[in-house]
Amino acid sequence: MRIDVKANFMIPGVDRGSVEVEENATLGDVLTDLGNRAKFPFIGPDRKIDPGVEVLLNGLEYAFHSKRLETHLEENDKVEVIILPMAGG
Amino acid sequence: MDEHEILEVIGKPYPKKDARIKVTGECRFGEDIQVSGMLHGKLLRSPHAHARILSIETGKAEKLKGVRAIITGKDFPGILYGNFINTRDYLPLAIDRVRYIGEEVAAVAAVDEDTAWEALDLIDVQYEPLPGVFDPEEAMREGAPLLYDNKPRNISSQSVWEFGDLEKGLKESYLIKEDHFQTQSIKHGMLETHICIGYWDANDKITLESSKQSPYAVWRQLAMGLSIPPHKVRVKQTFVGAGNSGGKQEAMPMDFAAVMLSKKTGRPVKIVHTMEEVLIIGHMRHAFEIDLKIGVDREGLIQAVDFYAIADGGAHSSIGQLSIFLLGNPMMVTYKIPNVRYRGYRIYTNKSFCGALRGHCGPQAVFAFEGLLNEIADELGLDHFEIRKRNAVTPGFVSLNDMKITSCSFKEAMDKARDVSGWDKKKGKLPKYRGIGMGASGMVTGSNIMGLSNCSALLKVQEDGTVALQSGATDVGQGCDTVLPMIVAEILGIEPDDVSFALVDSDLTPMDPGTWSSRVTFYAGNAVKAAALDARGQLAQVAADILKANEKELIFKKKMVYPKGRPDQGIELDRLVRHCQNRKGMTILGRGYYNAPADTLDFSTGKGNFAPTYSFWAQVCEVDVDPETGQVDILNIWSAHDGGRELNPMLVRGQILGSSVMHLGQTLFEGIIRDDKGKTLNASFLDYKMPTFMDIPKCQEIYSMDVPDPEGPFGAKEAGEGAGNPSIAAIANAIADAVGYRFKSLPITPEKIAMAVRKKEQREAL
Repeated sequence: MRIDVKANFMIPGVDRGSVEVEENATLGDVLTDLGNRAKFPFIGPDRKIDPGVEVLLNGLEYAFHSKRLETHLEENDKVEVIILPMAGG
Repeated sequence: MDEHEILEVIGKPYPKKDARIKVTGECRFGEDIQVSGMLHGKLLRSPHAHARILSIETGKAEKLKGVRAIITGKDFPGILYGNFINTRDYLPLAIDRVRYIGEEVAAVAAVDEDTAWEALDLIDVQYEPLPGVFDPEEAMREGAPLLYDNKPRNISSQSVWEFGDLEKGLKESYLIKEDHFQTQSIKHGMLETHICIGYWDANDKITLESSKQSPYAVWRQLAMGLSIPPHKVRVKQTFVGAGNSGGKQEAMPMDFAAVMLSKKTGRPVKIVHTMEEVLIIGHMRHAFEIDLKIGVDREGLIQAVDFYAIADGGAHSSIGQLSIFLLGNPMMVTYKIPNVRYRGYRIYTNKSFCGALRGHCGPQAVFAFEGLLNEIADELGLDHFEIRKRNAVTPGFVSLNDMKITSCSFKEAMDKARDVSGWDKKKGKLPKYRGIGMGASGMVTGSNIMGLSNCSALLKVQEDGTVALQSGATDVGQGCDTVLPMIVAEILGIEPDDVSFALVDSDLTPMDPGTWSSRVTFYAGNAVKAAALDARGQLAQVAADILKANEKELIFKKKMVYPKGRPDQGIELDRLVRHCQNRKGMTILGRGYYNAPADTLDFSTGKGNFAPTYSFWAQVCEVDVDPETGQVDILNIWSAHDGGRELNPMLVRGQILGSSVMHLGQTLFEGIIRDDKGKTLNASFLDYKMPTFMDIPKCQEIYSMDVPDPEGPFGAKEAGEGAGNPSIAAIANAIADAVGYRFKSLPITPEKIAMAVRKKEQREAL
């Protein structure tokens, strides 16, 4: 199935804003895949999202979904990954 | 005019609150802080631009009398920290590799500075030198030495975007001009060097006192690099002896070293950089190689722009992903460009790293763009103001990358600058070797780059009718310690001197992004305004009951609260506060926060209206050039700005004057000079030429369009950093007018000018 992906930075291999994932894929699976493509992990060894990114699933921050990273995705769900700078300039 | 609308405080030239203690030397900077039992730290720096660290032997140094501790990179968890998740490449101290001359490899704490310096000489570091790369174009080539194995072609970050149809735009252009421009790496000469005092207490609570302009960024980065939760870190801001970024934004190796040395010794440790250290480490201003192509129609209307740039980023990323985007952005908020391609690449080299300095890449971009635009105007026979007015953004304009222009008196500012400078009487009519030039630019007011971009404020109205204000905003000399209290004073009907302004303490003051991107007056100002209104609302509710009046009709003025039109039937503010406290148990605490109506910046597409509003600047410069020596004498700089309403004209003027001086230094003589091995050759103010009083323009005139911005607090928007955007362009264009030759490489030194004059005269003599 295809999942819509939006990010505020370049993720190689994200074809026209979407990726193909396996049926029953979880949010964590997709983020791991996107992290591999981007060559930096969004999920730490403690299975927590790195504080340097914000993740939204269908417009709602992932932490507000009860199953969090284990949330199963459905066709055309929208995953947003936003990198957050620690400071500006 | 309604009594509510009569401004008693806003718009008045109140002197900066800390001016008196600063000029009398009473101000307690970090350097002045002495703590019982305090040790002094120093940092050992790499003599190699690129090398593997084979071993570090500290035994001899540890035996030196007075040395209390020595640390290396292995004393830290080895976690990379940084600004963006995808560009984290800092370590507290280098562990296995150094990437520029000056990179920190070890630190010493001793009973005094001399002992610490001596101990550094006794640390034996064995290096295996690696090939270095010092030119960004060479660094991009296949086969060039890589600074980071996971960064092919040494690309630290890039910003590539295209809107419209570039080819079509160029094809349809009547005239196309292209050229190459170079800008140099500089360092802002803040007179206070970096300083910190670290404490690691027995409860594992870490306190860092430091002259930071974005204390919360330091707070997060310290926690990240030490691998501890942020609540274990407390950052206390000291007075900042000038910021302008340049390293006071982020956690630095010295900060990590101070707290780790404190952990090892159980004593506070102070580290102060020398000016030599400041001039060899980051953060420098990016040097750029810019290839610019502009196509226009017969009327001078821009049809297409192709902007290609390579930035020399040095050894680390800092905020480079934003920097390389921002180089391309000024043109999008200055002119209506229907077709555009921007390709910016920030490249790692074995040099001290670059970051955000005042204007954050804007002045360099504007120097190139305005220079080429003048060439186009000359070829079309158009006046320099005229071509800009034809292309200038206007209210309601939305750029191709979604920047939404709201309040905008850009053309009016240009008209003003033209008028007051006497442009029409001078352009083309000045004596030989006297010239006049102009520059124009738009500028963001506070970028919203996600994460914590908003501001908050807390205030307490005290029983004597004064206010203790806390925000997370830091004053780095720009004046928020005065302007934010002015906002409170205006709303509560008191004097700015009745409002105290707290230095940031991460355990106490509200979260805040820090001082950057010309945001403080706008974001923190709106938050402070909301907090003051909150407090006034609480007071009005009680006063309405006492005065038998409608609370919405109450006036707060001259330390009195009274029903509209009946000042004789009011109550003193201090009495009202005491009544609230003593009779009702109410401490009057106001709280406010503000987040701007702005979008996220999408780095992958270059799109997003990432600022709530934009300011606009037009500057004219008149110069005299000595043809023999090439010396430039700046006679006047006229600045006309649409920076919204000036909340404090005196402070705005100070910002603009300072900005002009800062940028004339970059235009005429400043620059980091390195040898071909990456060693800085001018690491002192004897050799690194900064502007002095002798270089300041004879005259500077400043004009505000004074049009309030609907979103800004009392109509304010950016009015300081943007002043520097057109400065280099205006001075360079004036020099070009004076000598009949356009310099495309900075700095425009007397040598370059004298040579150009001589060559021109020789050509003319043939």
